Amino acid sequence: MDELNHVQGFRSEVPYSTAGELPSARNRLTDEARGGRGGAGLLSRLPRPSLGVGRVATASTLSVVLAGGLMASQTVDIGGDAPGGGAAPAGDGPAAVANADVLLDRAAEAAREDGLPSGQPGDFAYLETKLTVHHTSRAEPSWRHEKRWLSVDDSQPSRIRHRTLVGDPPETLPAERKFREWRSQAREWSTTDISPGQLQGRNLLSPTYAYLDSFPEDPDKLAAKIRQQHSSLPESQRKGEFGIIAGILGEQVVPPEMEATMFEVAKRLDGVEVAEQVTIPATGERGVAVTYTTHGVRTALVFDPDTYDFLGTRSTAVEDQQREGGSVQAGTVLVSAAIIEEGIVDEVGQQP
Amino acid sequence: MTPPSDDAASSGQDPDDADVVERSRGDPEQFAVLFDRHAGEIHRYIRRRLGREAADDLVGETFLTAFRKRQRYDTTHRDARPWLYGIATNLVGLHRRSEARKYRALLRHGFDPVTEGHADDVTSDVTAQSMRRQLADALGRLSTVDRDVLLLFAWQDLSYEQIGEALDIRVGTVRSRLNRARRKVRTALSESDSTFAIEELSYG
Repeated sequence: MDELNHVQGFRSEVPYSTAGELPSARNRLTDEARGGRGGAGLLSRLPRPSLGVGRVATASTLSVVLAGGLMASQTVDIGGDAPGGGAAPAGDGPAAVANADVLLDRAAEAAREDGLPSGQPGDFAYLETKLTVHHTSRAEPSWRHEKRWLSVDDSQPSRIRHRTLVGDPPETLPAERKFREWRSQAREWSTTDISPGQLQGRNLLSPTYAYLDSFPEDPDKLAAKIRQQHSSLPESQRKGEFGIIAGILGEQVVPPEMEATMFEVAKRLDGVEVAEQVTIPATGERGVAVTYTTHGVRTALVFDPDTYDFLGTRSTAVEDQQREGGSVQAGTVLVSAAIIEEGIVDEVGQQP
Repeated sequence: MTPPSDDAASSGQDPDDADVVERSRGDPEQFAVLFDRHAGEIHRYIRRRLGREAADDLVGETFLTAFRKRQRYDTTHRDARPWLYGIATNLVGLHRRSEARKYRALLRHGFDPVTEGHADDVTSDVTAQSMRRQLADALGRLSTVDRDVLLLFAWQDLSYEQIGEALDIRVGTVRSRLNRARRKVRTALSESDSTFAIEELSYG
């Protein structure tokens, strides 16, 4: 038996579905064919302001929001999932994972097993992410797809490529489909080159890989470090250590041992809960999550329900609230970030 | 190959795929004929790579994307399958991390999230089980482009030409990628064969 036969037999038990057994996919097509959607021209109607790149471009969206950075006037605080926001609250129905501690233990184990090579000076941390950010000054969120090659130690020129959409997802579509259809309109990539020494680098809001790698692997010591950086923020921006962890994990390449240690730090925080079936709107991926709620917003770290690999983050308003720039309704997803691919590469432009 | 059939409609023959695309340009709902013809096999292809849930979603996405690009379809290609597989494979590529995770889960835990729930999944045959894990490991280690070619060839029976058309690469590139992918899988499996042999010897 040659290798081709083996490949042919692999997962051959997966059954065949007839077209008639795929009604929702067929309906999507026939809805569109009947003119249920705006059709071409949507892209040209959309304003496409940048979310801002440059010196602070590497700071995570969550962190920038937290720190009152360049998007602060437009965005609101991070938060977690709300009822009706696509996530079941903790304790709603039988949970496959008994509690947050068990889930975070498994996540830490998965992170350690992940085998991401360690980055050396001169290497690049590659990260592909998809993000959504809600703006209080606008009814609709923006969506951002980003690929970054950041010099591990900021000794080499770094590069960020991104494409962004700010606009109105077609109203005629069901909520789940809105983002998907809308973001498929984003086409144009722009590139930002960053000179060596220009990454902020040495703080938890915008850390270089080398800085993260220098952190203590002891969860108590790491917790102390995060606490210290959190308390050095202006008071209005102190929204919890969990938010800092979510910002780093959702939007940075984190050394596997450090990622695992961060999950262990999260385990030590009071009020961390489990939620099932949490969707990350930026990609539509769904997983099991740990959540933490503060200041009217719930932040979720979302994991693959089978392997416990970290997928991304989602923050949702859990109550109606007034914010600078406008009001936010309970259930609004404020920020979501999904990791598409990450790794260590030798040069800018290379993918793992 | 299916011969061109410009007058298929008037002569009462079944229209081929290119005819269907052509008609759908004036009558969009005609495009559903392509769905009814090919959605099943495209769905199974995606499902074998990413699992049921993703397949349910991406098969819809595949046909929606195809529908939106129908004006640009080259109707000298009478069979639309390579085109549809190309779109589906691109969409699968956006989920490559998820695909890799599932191979890894099978390798580590002997449990395949993709086939979960199907009776054949649970095999008591230790050798077969071990082979599955080795295969998952080998497939997971292939580059995405090599894996695309190998699986379109092995699972979907596409020819070199059809794969080239689907992935927009030259036939020579298809051949070299396929050879490389097969060689890597063969090496991975032969290493596992020798492991079995050693185990058998030590038990014997």
